[in-house]
Amino acid sequence: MTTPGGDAPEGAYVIGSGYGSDVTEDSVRSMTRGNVLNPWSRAQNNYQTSTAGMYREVTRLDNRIDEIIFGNELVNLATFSTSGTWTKPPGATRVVVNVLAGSSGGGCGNNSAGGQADWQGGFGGWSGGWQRATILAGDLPETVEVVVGAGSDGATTRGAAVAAGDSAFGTYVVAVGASGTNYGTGNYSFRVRGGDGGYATGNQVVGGEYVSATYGGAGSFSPGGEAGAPNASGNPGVNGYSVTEVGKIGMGSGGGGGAQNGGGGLGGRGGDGGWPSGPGGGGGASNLGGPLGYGGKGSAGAVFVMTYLEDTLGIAPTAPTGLAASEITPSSAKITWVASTDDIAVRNYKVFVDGTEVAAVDGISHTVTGLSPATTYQVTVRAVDLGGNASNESSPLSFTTTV
Amino acid sequence: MPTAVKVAENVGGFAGPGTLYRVDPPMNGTEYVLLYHQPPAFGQHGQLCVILATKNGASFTRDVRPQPGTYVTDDPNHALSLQLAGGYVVTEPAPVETPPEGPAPDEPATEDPGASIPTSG
Repeated sequence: MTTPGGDAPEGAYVIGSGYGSDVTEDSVRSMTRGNVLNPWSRAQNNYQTSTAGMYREVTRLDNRIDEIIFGNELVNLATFSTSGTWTKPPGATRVVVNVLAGSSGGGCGNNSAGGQADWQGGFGGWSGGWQRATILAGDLPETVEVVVGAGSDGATTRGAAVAAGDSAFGTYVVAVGASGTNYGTGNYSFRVRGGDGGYATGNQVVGGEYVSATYGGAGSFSPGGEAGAPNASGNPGVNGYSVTEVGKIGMGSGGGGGAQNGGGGLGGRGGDGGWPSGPGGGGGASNLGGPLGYGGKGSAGAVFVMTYLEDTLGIAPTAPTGLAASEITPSSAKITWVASTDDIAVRNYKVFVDGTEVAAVDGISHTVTGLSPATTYQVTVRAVDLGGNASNESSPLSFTTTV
Repeated sequence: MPTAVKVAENVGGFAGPGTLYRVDPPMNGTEYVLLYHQPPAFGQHGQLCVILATKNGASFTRDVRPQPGTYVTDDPNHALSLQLAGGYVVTEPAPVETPPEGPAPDEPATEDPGASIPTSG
């Protein structure tokens, strides 16, 4: 930049001038680069300050992304509960994709086992298809569009619910949503039904026999929603149970069927399906011409993208910083530090006391024990990444145990 | 002033318990939006999602597409989310008019059983 006839603009770097006389072209480049990199580095630190081993949080604007260590392999798990875009993480080797489509809602008064039309309950809905595939990361582009299929509403008029939406991981893995009368399609055979609504046999005028609503089908990790009870109460079925624990990939359970109403009131509404892909329960019957219960809603689907990572570039993590000691006793002290960053992922931290390794921990703190009273110790910490590359030692921290 | 009135809570079928709101003016073709919160777990923050919904709390669209107002949080704030979604202000439902004294007039059976959404599970 030249500034003929006047002072340099504020903030300008003036080579060789009194202001900034120690500035060179290279140092300007470095400072300019730092203006960009420093906020990025701080953001990375923020993302990784929770833990460094199991279940770390990584960058996410939407949907859930976790990093989970299976044995010596690090897996980046992206869980999509809404449609979005998957971005291939650095170090990806292979990708295991589970795509679960939307499930259908429960039916309304479509149970032909009933005696008269109003005494018919609704059939439970059907789970969406589940498609699973393993893809080499090199065969995938940097980003893939993800579609999460919607569950269909419970039927509000006599008959079955409408079809649910398909879920997809680009065009690579597609699962088809359930119809109102059948399961969705996919290559994985796990299936769930919603509970049937309660109904009755015989003649509603001269009397008959109640048939209880049924529970929703069990999901991958949970039982189905309870049926509406007792008989003739018109109580709704209970919603199916959802899969919300990180690292668990599976299908929610079905909603319970609604109980029939022994009077002329509303049949019980079926429970909604559990997430993902749990079907809705069927609506309960009614009596004396009363309104039939609606079916419960089918659940939305989900897309789980597990990306296996490896670290082969040999780039070591940054050294831990900000070592501090707290909770100091005569024999122990808690050491904390600020997380390191890495091009792929930090695996763990090694803690050294007076040069001797005493622990390897996943988190960003460690309580050193077995110390002597009134003694000064020096602690350092190294970060180790997924590829086994160790960082430089942190700046040493000295502390003295209490008497 | 855009308004949002709570219609139902604990609506199932999503990655967290849903709350259904009726919004005025409509948002992208529907008068209902559903908010659900995925709780935080294992150091991962939760998130509050806003989707377009039907009057029964089902997804309005064939896929579950996040709408403005969706954000990452451990402490879901529906008022904030609805404000971000379309400037909606949460209001109480309009009071139901008290029927006149005396015998009720004969009315056709127009009751809507499906509007009853279970609050369990």
